[in-house]
Amino acid sequence: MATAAAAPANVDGEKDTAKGDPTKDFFISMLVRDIELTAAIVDLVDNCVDGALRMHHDLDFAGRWVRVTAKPEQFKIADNCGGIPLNILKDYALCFGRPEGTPTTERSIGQFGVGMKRALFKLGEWFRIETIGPRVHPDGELVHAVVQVPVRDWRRAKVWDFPITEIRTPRPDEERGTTITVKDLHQEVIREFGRSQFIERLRGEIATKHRWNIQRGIGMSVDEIGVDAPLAELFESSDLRPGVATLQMNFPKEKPVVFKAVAGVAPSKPREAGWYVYCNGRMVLGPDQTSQTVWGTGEIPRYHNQFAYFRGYAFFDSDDAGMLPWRTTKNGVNEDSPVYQRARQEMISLSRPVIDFLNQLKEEVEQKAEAAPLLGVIKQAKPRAVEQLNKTQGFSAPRSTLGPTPPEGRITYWEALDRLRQVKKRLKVKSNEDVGHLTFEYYYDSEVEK
Amino acid sequence: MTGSPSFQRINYALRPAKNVERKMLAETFHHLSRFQPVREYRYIGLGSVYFSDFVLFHKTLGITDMICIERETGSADRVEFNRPFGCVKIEMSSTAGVLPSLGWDKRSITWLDYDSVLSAGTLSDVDTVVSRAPSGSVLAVTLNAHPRLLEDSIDDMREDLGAEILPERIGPSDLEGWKGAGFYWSILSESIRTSLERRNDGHTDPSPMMFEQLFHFHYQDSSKMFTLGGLLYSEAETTLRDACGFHQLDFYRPGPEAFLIDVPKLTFREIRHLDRRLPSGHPNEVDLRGIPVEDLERYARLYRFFPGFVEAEF
Repeated sequence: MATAAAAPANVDGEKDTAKGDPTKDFFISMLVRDIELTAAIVDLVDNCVDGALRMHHDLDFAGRWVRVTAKPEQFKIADNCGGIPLNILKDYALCFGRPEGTPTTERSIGQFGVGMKRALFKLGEWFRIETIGPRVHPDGELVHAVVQVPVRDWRRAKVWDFPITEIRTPRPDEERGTTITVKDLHQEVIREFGRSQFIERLRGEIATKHRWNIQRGIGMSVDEIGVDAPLAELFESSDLRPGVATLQMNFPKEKPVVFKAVAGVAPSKPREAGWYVYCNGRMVLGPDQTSQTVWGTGEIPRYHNQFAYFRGYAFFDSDDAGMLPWRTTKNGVNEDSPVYQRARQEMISLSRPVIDFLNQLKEEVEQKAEAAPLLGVIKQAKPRAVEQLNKTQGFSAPRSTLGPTPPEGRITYWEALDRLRQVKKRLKVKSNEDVGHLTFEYYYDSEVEK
Repeated sequence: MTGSPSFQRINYALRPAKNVERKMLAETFHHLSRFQPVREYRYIGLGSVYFSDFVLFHKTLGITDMICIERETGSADRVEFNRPFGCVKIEMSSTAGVLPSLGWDKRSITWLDYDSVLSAGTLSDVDTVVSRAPSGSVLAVTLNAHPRLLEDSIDDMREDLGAEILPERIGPSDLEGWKGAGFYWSILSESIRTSLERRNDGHTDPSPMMFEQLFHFHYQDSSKMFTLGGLLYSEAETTLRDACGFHQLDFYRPGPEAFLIDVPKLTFREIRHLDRRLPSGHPNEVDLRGIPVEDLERYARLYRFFPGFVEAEF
């Protein structure tokens, strides 16, 4: 221990550094920590859809497919959505984050530069990306390229680059597209892939997140069973009209954001009721029954099961994906986004009349059960695809014609069973309640009404 | 037997296949003695007013710690009236209420003999038992797999179980015949595996817990019924499991293939005649006397468990 007597020479002006290098292990563990396995796989599907988007700006995806295989021995996702351009693969696709100058795809889903790497590390310790795509220009020369990475070795290496192990000319029969294979899967992944419940959940996630893209023609399958996406529909008739709101938000110096929301009534299903939010055609939230959308905010009550008929669909579209209110995991909305805050005002306005209608419906059903007139209105309406609802209009429905029930009082009393049975026989009724009603009516009609 | 009418047939209202199943289970439980004398086990069942399982297991295995779970609170008096022995404790509540509240330190045989179709409640009950029962315990689950009932219930089942377990694409044609039972097998097997994985992830037991399926029955008295059952044991007690010798049982079925309990229609005389040539009689040797060969084969598979006529209601 140095004494304070004399300061050591050469301290003033001495410079040193504290190391700040990232370690790959830390980086990988942080990257994969906050995303669930199903969400990570859907990120890979998102990339395929972006590829399809680059091929078909008109959004007609007929002929495109994405095939996912999730088995304990290996994971694979194959598509015929155009392939990764070689210059993108070399300079941008496997970077962590988006270097300056990264070309953007208009109206894309991917935008944070992290989905593919995160999914690959989440899945296993060996991966291979094989792609047949353009060398540079979308219509130019095609190249077949392979990146194959034993992750264990990569972890130990100093550099962050990944080797492109093969580049050749594709054969004439080889279709443009990408196949990603992951082997040496992590234990938890092997376990999940062995569970049919997990595979069904994955199918369900892909179906809900990519409903629109599937409807536009992309065939998707998991383990060779197709993923179906039923149409989103709302009931419509001459009496019953869904509400539609549209907005165009033009922020200075930014690409515009187009917003459309539709709200109305569909078959009563608690598991499916609520708001669904889409960014560039990809669902990020839904069915939401919380304050993340409208429930429990301002004039809108908290969600209750009487609202099981409620469906709301909100669509945000922009050529610049960064303008849209999503989170990095693409699950949930970024409530701080001014785009979302403005849009939410419309969502609340659309929701209010639907909720009024459903409250009236509840009253009627309590009084008249299956004979409730408003229930009849719903039953007579026909389902209409949300895609076709584009004209701005307010939600409209008939008002309830049943008056409120007059205030009531309760009568309860006991009678000897013998006498009760006799009266029941005379009145030809079975329940004690009916005895009460009929005897009261009898007295009222004969003694009070005159 | 003097005095019994010679062409008297079995009364099928008494559920002969169920009777056979019960006895096969009792025989299986005898083999548990490598873990601990069976009479020291606890038995948990859903006896309703007949308590047939309680009567059989108490009488043949000597089990005294017995719990009957009965959900219909309106039947409390009737259930109590029919309680067969003083050692049977009745819990008037649902399985969801009782199973988690029991202590699970003791080796137990739990037979969840539901009358109904598979529900989320079933899976929850299975999870409760699999995640807590000690090594050497047995769990069996019986469900109604009748195609008509499944068809009628499928939408409610999907709402209850969720599309992950019962995807939209599963329709009535997937539930015909014994396919519904096949579904039950897949869903329950996976459910048990998942419960065990979760239990073992917590490292609360001294060594990892395993499940060996011992029986997988299909039978039909009136409705098609399905039973899946097996042994929960600790990896450290694998030698005890081996010593039990379950695989020696004729009806031992450890996988997707089921044992069909198929009770042939035979007269008293025919039964006596066939018995004299069993267990080793072959169809050529036995003088068939007009009994169809298939009936002989069906009888030979389960003759030891065949309902006896003195035991009209056992």
